[in-house]
Amino acid sequence: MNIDLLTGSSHKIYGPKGVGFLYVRNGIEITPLIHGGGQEFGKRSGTENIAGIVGFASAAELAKKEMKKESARQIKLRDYLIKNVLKIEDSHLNGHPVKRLPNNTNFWFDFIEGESLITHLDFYGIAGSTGSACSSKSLEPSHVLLAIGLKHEQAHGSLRLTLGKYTSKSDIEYVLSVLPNVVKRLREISPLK
Amino acid sequence: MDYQTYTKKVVKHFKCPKNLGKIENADGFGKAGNQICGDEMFLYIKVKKDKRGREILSDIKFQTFGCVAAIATSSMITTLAKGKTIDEALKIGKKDITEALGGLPKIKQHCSILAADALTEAVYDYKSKNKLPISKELKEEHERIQKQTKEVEEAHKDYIKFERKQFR
Repeated sequence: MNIDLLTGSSHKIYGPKGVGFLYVRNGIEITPLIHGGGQEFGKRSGTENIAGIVGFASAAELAKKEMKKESARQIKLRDYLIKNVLKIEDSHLNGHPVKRLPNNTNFWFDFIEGESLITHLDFYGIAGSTGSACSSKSLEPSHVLLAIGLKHEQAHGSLRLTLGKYTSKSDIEYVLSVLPNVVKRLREISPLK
Repeated sequence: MDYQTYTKKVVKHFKCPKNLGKIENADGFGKAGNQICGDEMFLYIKVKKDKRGREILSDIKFQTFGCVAAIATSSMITTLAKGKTIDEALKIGKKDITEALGGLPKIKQHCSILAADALTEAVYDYKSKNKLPISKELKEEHERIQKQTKEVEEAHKDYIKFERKQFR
Protein backbone atom coordinates (compact mmCIF):
# COMPACT_ATOMS: atom_id res chain seq x y z
CA MET A 1 0.00 0.00 0.00
CA ASN A 2 3.06 2.21 -0.08
CA ILE A 3 2.71 3.17 3.54
CA ASP A 4 5.56 4.91 5.34
CA LEU A 5 4.05 5.08 8.79
CA LEU A 6 0.89 3.57 10.23
CA THR A 7 -0.60 3.54 13.72
CA GLY A 8 -3.51 1.60 15.16
CA SER A 9 -5.35 1.28 18.47
CA SER A 10 -6.05 -1.99 20.19
CA HIS A 11 -9.48 -1.08 21.57
CA LYS A 12 -10.83 -0.54 18.06
CA ILE A 13 -10.54 -4.26 17.43
CA TYR A 14 -11.81 -5.35 20.86
CA GLY A 15 -8.34 -5.58 22.41
CA PRO A 16 -7.33 -4.01 25.72
CA LYS A 17 -7.37 -0.22 26.02
CA GLY A 18 -4.17 1.76 26.20
CA VAL A 19 -2.16 -0.16 23.61
CA GLY A 20 -1.35 0.78 20.05
CA PHE A 21 1.02 -0.20 17.31
CA LEU A 22 3.31 1.73 15.04
CA TYR A 23 4.39 0.48 11.65
CA VAL A 24 7.55 2.07 10.26
CA ARG A 25 8.71 1.18 6.79
CA ASN A 26 12.33 0.19 6.37
CA GLY A 27 14.42 3.23 5.75
CA ILE A 28 12.13 5.70 7.49
CA GLU A 29 13.85 7.48 10.36
CA ILE A 30 11.71 8.92 13.14
CA THR A 31 12.64 10.93 16.20
CA PRO A 32 11.14 9.46 19.38
CA LEU A 33 8.76 11.60 21.42
CA ILE A 34 9.55 9.78 24.64
CA HIS A 35 13.18 9.42 25.66
CA GLY A 36 14.73 7.33 28.40
CA GLY A 37 15.48 3.63 28.67
CA GLY A 38 15.48 3.00 24.93
CA GLN A 39 12.71 0.39 24.96
CA GLU A 40 10.86 -0.62 21.80
CA PHE A 41 13.99 -0.31 19.65
CA GLY A 42 14.62 3.18 20.96
CA LYS A 43 11.39 4.44 19.39
CA ARG A 44 9.38 4.73 22.58
CA SER A 45 11.07 4.57 25.94
CA GLY A 46 9.26 3.34 29.05
CA THR A 47 8.54 -0.10 30.45
CA GLU A 48 6.43 -2.08 28.01
CA ASN A 49 2.86 -3.01 28.90
CA ILE A 50 3.39 -6.71 28.23
CA ALA A 51 -0.12 -7.87 29.15
CA GLY A 52 -1.58 -5.16 26.93
CA ILE A 53 0.70 -6.03 24.04
CA VAL A 54 -0.10 -9.74 24.24
CA GLY A 55 -3.82 -8.91 24.49
CA PHE A 56 -3.59 -6.69 21.43
CA ALA A 57 -1.77 -9.39 19.47
CA SER A 58 -4.44 -11.88 20.43
CA ALA A 59 -7.21 -9.48 19.42
CA ALA A 60 -5.44 -8.91 16.10
CA GLU A 61 -5.27 -12.65 15.43
CA LEU A 62 -8.97 -13.05 16.15
CA ALA A 63 -9.85 -10.00 14.07
CA LYS A 64 -7.87 -11.29 11.12
CA LYS A 65 -9.60 -14.65 11.31
CA GLU A 66 -13.03 -13.02 11.30
CA MET A 67 -12.27 -10.06 9.09
CA LYS A 68 -13.56 -11.27 5.75
CA LYS A 69 -16.77 -12.71 7.09
CA GLU A 70 -17.34 -9.88 9.54
CA SER A 71 -16.73 -7.12 6.96
CA ALA A 72 -19.21 -8.72 4.61
CA ARG A 73 -21.77 -9.08 7.40
CA GLN A 74 -21.38 -5.48 8.54
CA ILE A 75 -21.48 -4.10 5.01
CA LYS A 76 -24.79 -5.85 4.52
CA LEU A 77 -26.18 -4.44 7.76
CA ARG A 78 -24.71 -1.01 7.05
CA ASP A 79 -26.32 -0.84 3.62
CA TYR A 80 -29.62 -2.02 5.07
CA LEU A 81 -29.44 0.72 7.69
CA ILE A 82 -28.54 3.38 5.12
CA LYS A 83 -31.27 2.32 2.72
CA ASN A 84 -33.93 2.51 5.40
CA VAL A 85 -32.77 5.67 7.16
CA LEU A 86 -32.83 7.47 3.81
CA LYS A 87 -36.54 6.69 3.60
CA ILE A 88 -36.96 9.45 6.19
CA GLU A 89 -37.96 12.61 4.37
CA ASP A 90 -35.19 15.17 3.88
CA SER A 91 -32.45 12.89 5.13
CA HIS A 92 -29.07 12.62 3.47
CA LEU A 93 -26.05 10.35 3.63
CA ASN A 94 -22.71 11.97 4.40
CA GLY A 95 -19.80 10.47 2.50
CA HIS A 96 -19.72 7.93 -0.28
CA PRO A 97 -22.52 5.34 -0.53
CA VAL A 98 -20.14 2.41 -0.98
CA LYS A 99 -16.55 3.58 -0.55
CA ARG A 100 -16.77 3.74 3.23
CA LEU A 101 -15.84 1.65 6.25
CA PRO A 102 -17.98 -1.46 6.64
CA ASN A 103 -19.17 -0.27 10.04
CA ASN A 104 -19.78 3.42 9.39
CA THR A 105 -22.94 5.34 8.61
CA ASN A 106 -23.29 9.10 8.82
CA PHE A 107 -26.44 11.05 8.04
CA TRP A 108 -27.69 14.57 7.96
CA PHE A 109 -31.28 15.54 8.68
CA ASP A 110 -32.68 18.90 7.60
CA PHE A 111 -34.18 21.29 10.14
CA ILE A 112 -32.99 19.57 13.30
CA GLU A 113 -29.95 19.79 15.49
CA GLY A 114 -27.65 16.89 16.26
CA GLU A 115 -27.27 17.16 20.00
CA SER A 116 -31.04 17.07 20.46
CA LEU A 117 -31.15 14.09 18.16
CA ILE A 118 -28.52 12.00 19.96
CA THR A 119 -30.03 12.91 23.33
CA HIS A 120 -33.45 11.61 22.28
CA LEU A 121 -31.82 8.46 20.91
CA ASP A 122 -29.99 8.03 24.18
CA PHE A 123 -33.35 8.00 25.99
CA TYR A 124 -34.09 4.89 23.92
CA GLY A 125 -30.70 3.35 24.68
CA ILE A 126 -29.22 4.09 21.26
CA ALA A 127 -25.69 5.49 21.25
CA GLY A 128 -24.75 7.72 18.35
CA SER A 129 -22.57 10.75 17.86
CA THR A 130 -22.98 14.04 16.10
CA GLY A 131 -20.79 16.57 14.36
CA SER A 132 -22.99 19.35 15.65
CA ALA A 133 -21.25 22.32 17.22
CA CYS A 134 -23.73 22.19 20.08
CA SER A 135 -22.38 18.91 21.36
CA SER A 136 -18.76 19.93 21.38
CA LYS A 137 -17.00 21.79 24.14
CA SER A 138 -15.72 24.37 21.67
CA LEU A 139 -19.06 24.91 19.87
CA GLU A 140 -17.18 24.13 16.64
CA PRO A 141 -18.68 21.54 14.29
CA SER A 142 -16.85 18.35 13.32
CA HIS A 143 -13.70 19.21 11.37
CA VAL A 144 -14.04 15.93 9.49
CA LEU A 145 -17.49 16.77 8.15
CA LEU A 146 -16.35 20.29 7.26
CA ALA A 147 -13.30 18.82 5.51
CA ILE A 148 -15.47 16.62 3.27
CA GLY A 149 -17.33 19.73 2.18
CA LEU A 150 -20.35 19.95 4.44
CA LYS A 151 -21.66 23.33 5.47
CA HIS A 152 -21.96 24.24 9.13
CA GLU A 153 -25.72 23.77 9.03
CA GLN A 154 -25.32 20.31 7.58
CA ALA A 155 -22.83 19.29 10.24
CA HIS A 156 -25.31 20.74 12.75
CA GLY A 157 -27.90 18.08 11.96
CA SER A 158 -25.54 15.17 11.46
CA LEU A 159 -25.72 11.76 13.09
CA ARG A 160 -23.10 9.04 13.06
CA LEU A 161 -24.15 5.49 13.82
CA THR A 162 -21.46 2.83 13.80
CA LEU A 163 -21.78 -0.93 13.85
CA GLY A 164 -19.60 -3.50 15.53
CA LYS A 165 -19.16 -7.21 15.67
CA TYR A 166 -21.86 -7.41 18.34
CA THR A 167 -24.41 -5.45 16.29
CA SER A 168 -27.23 -7.65 15.06
CA LYS A 169 -29.97 -7.23 12.53
CA SER A 170 -32.48 -6.81 15.35
CA ASP A 171 -30.42 -3.89 16.73
CA ILE A 172 -30.70 -2.23 13.34
CA GLU A 173 -34.43 -2.92 13.23
CA TYR A 174 -34.75 -1.32 16.67
CA VAL A 175 -32.92 1.82 15.53
CA LEU A 176 -35.15 1.96 12.46
CA SER A 177 -38.24 1.72 14.65
CA VAL A 178 -37.11 4.64 16.84
CA LEU A 179 -35.17 7.05 14.62
CA PRO A 180 -37.94 8.20 12.24
CA ASN A 181 -40.17 9.12 15.18
CA VAL A 182 -37.42 11.05 16.93
CA VAL A 183 -36.66 13.00 13.75
CA LYS A 184 -40.37 13.70 13.30
CA ARG A 185 -40.71 14.86 16.89
CA LEU A 186 -37.77 17.27 16.63
CA ARG A 187 -39.09 18.64 13.37
CA GLU A 188 -42.34 19.44 15.13
CA ILE A 189 -40.34 21.52 17.58
CA SER A 190 -38.27 23.22 14.86
CA PRO A 191 -39.49 26.44 13.19
CA LEU A 192 -37.55 25.55 10.03
CA LYS A 193 -39.64 23.69 7.50
CA MET B 1 -22.29 17.48 25.58
CA ASP B 2 -23.48 14.50 27.56
CA TYR B 3 -27.14 14.83 28.45
CA GLN B 4 -26.33 13.62 31.93
CA THR B 5 -24.53 16.93 32.52
CA TYR B 6 -27.93 18.61 32.23
CA THR B 7 -30.17 18.92 35.29
CA LYS B 8 -33.28 16.75 35.60
CA LYS B 9 -35.44 19.79 34.93
CA VAL B 10 -33.60 20.56 31.69
CA VAL B 11 -34.05 16.98 30.53
CA LYS B 12 -37.73 17.05 31.48
CA HIS B 13 -38.41 20.25 29.53
CA PHE B 14 -36.41 18.92 26.60
CA LYS B 15 -38.24 15.60 26.57
CA CYS B 16 -41.72 17.07 26.92
CA PRO B 17 -41.59 20.77 26.06
CA LYS B 18 -44.44 22.90 27.33
CA ASN B 19 -46.34 25.30 25.06
CA LEU B 20 -44.90 23.88 21.89
CA GLY B 21 -46.17 24.99 18.51
CA LYS B 22 -47.54 27.96 16.68
CA ILE B 23 -50.40 30.38 17.40
CA GLU B 24 -52.32 31.26 14.26
CA ASN B 25 -53.21 34.98 14.25
CA ALA B 26 -50.96 35.67 17.22
CA ASP B 27 -51.00 39.16 18.72
CA GLY B 28 -47.23 39.23 18.76
CA PHE B 29 -44.47 37.26 17.05
CA GLY B 30 -40.81 37.25 17.99
CA LYS B 31 -37.83 35.69 16.27
CA ALA B 32 -34.35 35.41 17.70
CA GLY B 33 -31.17 33.85 16.39
CA ASN B 34 -28.07 32.92 18.23
CA GLN B 35 -24.77 34.11 16.79
CA ILE B 36 -22.74 31.58 18.71
CA CYS B 37 -24.30 28.36 17.49
CA GLY B 38 -26.86 29.30 14.85
CA ASP B 39 -29.90 28.27 16.88
CA GLU B 40 -33.19 29.91 16.04
CA MET B 41 -36.35 30.45 18.06
CA PHE B 42 -39.84 31.61 17.09
CA LEU B 43 -42.21 32.78 19.82
CA TYR B 44 -45.92 33.60 19.55
CA ILE B 45 -48.07 35.46 22.10
CA LYS B 46 -51.74 36.15 22.69
CA VAL B 47 -52.58 39.17 24.81
CA LYS B 48 -55.77 39.74 26.79
CA LYS B 49 -56.80 42.44 29.24
CA ASP B 50 -57.67 41.32 32.75
CA LYS B 51 -60.36 42.85 35.01
CA ARG B 52 -58.00 45.58 36.10
CA GLY B 53 -57.20 46.44 32.49
CA ARG B 54 -53.68 45.00 32.59
CA GLU B 55 -52.33 43.28 29.48
CA ILE B 56 -51.81 39.61 30.26
CA LEU B 57 -50.01 36.99 28.18
CA SER B 58 -52.98 34.66 27.92
CA ASP B 59 -51.24 32.25 25.60
CA ILE B 60 -47.68 31.69 24.46
CA LYS B 61 -46.11 29.11 22.15
CA PHE B 62 -42.69 28.46 20.67
CA GLN B 63 -40.75 26.63 17.97
CA THR B 64 -37.01 26.13 18.29
CA PHE B 65 -34.22 24.81 16.10
CA GLY B 66 -31.43 23.97 18.46
CA CYS B 67 -29.85 21.80 21.08
CA VAL B 68 -31.17 20.33 24.30
CA ALA B 69 -30.52 23.54 26.23
CA ALA B 70 -32.13 25.72 23.55
CA ILE B 71 -35.31 23.64 23.61
CA ALA B 72 -35.43 23.45 27.41
CA THR B 73 -34.91 27.21 27.87
CA SER B 74 -37.61 27.89 25.25
CA SER B 75 -40.04 25.68 27.10
CA MET B 76 -39.13 27.24 30.44
CA ILE B 77 -39.60 30.85 29.36
CA THR B 78 -43.08 30.09 28.06
CA THR B 79 -43.92 28.48 31.40
CA LEU B 80 -42.57 31.48 33.31
CA ALA B 81 -44.26 34.09 31.11
CA LYS B 82 -47.69 32.54 30.65
CA GLY B 83 -50.34 34.41 32.65
CA LYS B 84 -47.98 37.26 33.52
CA THR B 85 -48.49 40.88 32.53
CA ILE B 86 -46.42 42.12 29.62
CA ASP B 87 -44.23 44.21 31.89
CA GLU B 88 -43.60 41.33 34.25
CA ALA B 89 -42.77 39.05 31.33
CA LEU B 90 -40.27 41.54 29.93
CA LYS B 91 -38.39 41.37 33.20
CA ILE B 92 -37.74 37.64 32.84
CA GLY B 93 -34.03 37.45 32.18
CA LYS B 94 -31.58 34.73 31.32
CA LYS B 95 -30.79 34.35 35.02
CA ASP B 96 -34.41 33.58 35.90
CA ILE B 97 -34.62 30.97 33.15
CA THR B 98 -31.35 29.32 34.12
CA GLU B 99 -32.30 29.25 37.79
CA ALA B 100 -35.74 27.82 37.09
CA LEU B 101 -34.03 24.99 35.22
CA GLY B 102 -31.69 24.31 38.12
CA GLY B 103 -28.71 25.59 36.15
CA LEU B 104 -27.15 25.09 32.73
CA PRO B 105 -23.65 23.94 31.75
CA LYS B 106 -21.41 26.98 31.35
CA ILE B 107 -21.06 26.55 27.61
CA LYS B 108 -24.87 26.50 27.25
CA GLN B 109 -25.58 29.71 29.14
CA HIS B 110 -25.99 31.62 25.89
CA CYS B 111 -29.06 29.51 25.04
CA SER B 112 -31.08 31.26 27.74
CA ILE B 113 -30.46 34.62 26.07
CA LEU B 114 -32.14 33.32 22.92
CA ALA B 115 -35.37 32.65 24.81
CA ALA B 116 -35.41 36.04 26.55
CA ASP B 117 -34.69 37.79 23.24
CA ALA B 118 -37.52 36.05 21.42
CA LEU B 119 -39.99 37.08 24.11
CA THR B 120 -38.78 40.69 24.00
CA GLU B 121 -39.29 40.65 20.25
CA ALA B 122 -42.81 39.26 20.53
CA VAL B 123 -43.77 42.01 22.99
CA TYR B 124 -42.18 44.64 20.76
CA ASP B 125 -44.14 43.29 17.80
CA TYR B 126 -47.39 43.39 19.79
CA LYS B 127 -46.77 46.96 20.96
CA SER B 128 -45.78 48.29 17.57
CA LYS B 129 -48.70 46.58 15.80
CA ASN B 130 -51.11 48.14 18.27
CA LYS B 131 -49.34 51.51 18.20
CA LEU B 132 -48.72 51.35 21.93
CA PRO B 133 -45.97 53.43 23.52
CA ILE B 134 -42.58 51.73 23.38
CA SER B 135 -39.98 52.52 26.00
CA LYS B 136 -36.48 53.56 25.02
CA GLU B 137 -35.07 50.42 26.61
CA LEU B 138 -37.37 48.11 24.68
CA LYS B 139 -36.55 49.90 21.45
CA GLU B 140 -32.82 49.51 22.04
CA GLU B 141 -33.21 45.86 22.91
CA HIS B 142 -35.26 45.33 19.76
CA GLU B 143 -32.57 46.92 17.60
CA ARG B 144 -29.86 44.82 19.18
CA ILE B 145 -31.79 41.56 18.67
CA GLN B 146 -32.74 42.44 15.09
CA LYS B 147 -29.13 43.09 14.22
CA GLN B 148 -28.05 39.82 15.77
CA THR B 149 -30.79 37.75 14.11
CA LYS B 150 -29.91 39.29 10.75
CA GLU B 151 -26.31 38.25 11.23
CA VAL B 152 -27.37 34.66 11.94
CA GLU B 153 -29.56 34.59 8.86
CA GLU B 154 -26.74 36.05 6.80
CA ALA B 155 -24.35 33.36 8.04
CA HIS B 156 -26.90 30.68 7.23
CA LYS B 157 -28.17 32.17 4.02
CA ASP B 158 -27.16 29.18 1.91
CA TYR B 159 -29.25 27.00 4.13
CA ILE B 160 -32.17 29.38 4.13
CA LYS B 161 -31.95 29.70 0.35
CA PHE B 162 -31.87 25.94 0.14
CA GLU B 163 -35.03 25.73 2.20
CA ARG B 164 -36.82 28.19 -0.03
CA LYS B 165 -35.78 26.37 -3.15
CA GLN B 166 -36.91 23.06 -1.80
CA PHE B 167 -40.01 23.84 0.12
CA ARG B 168 -41.62 27.09 -0.92
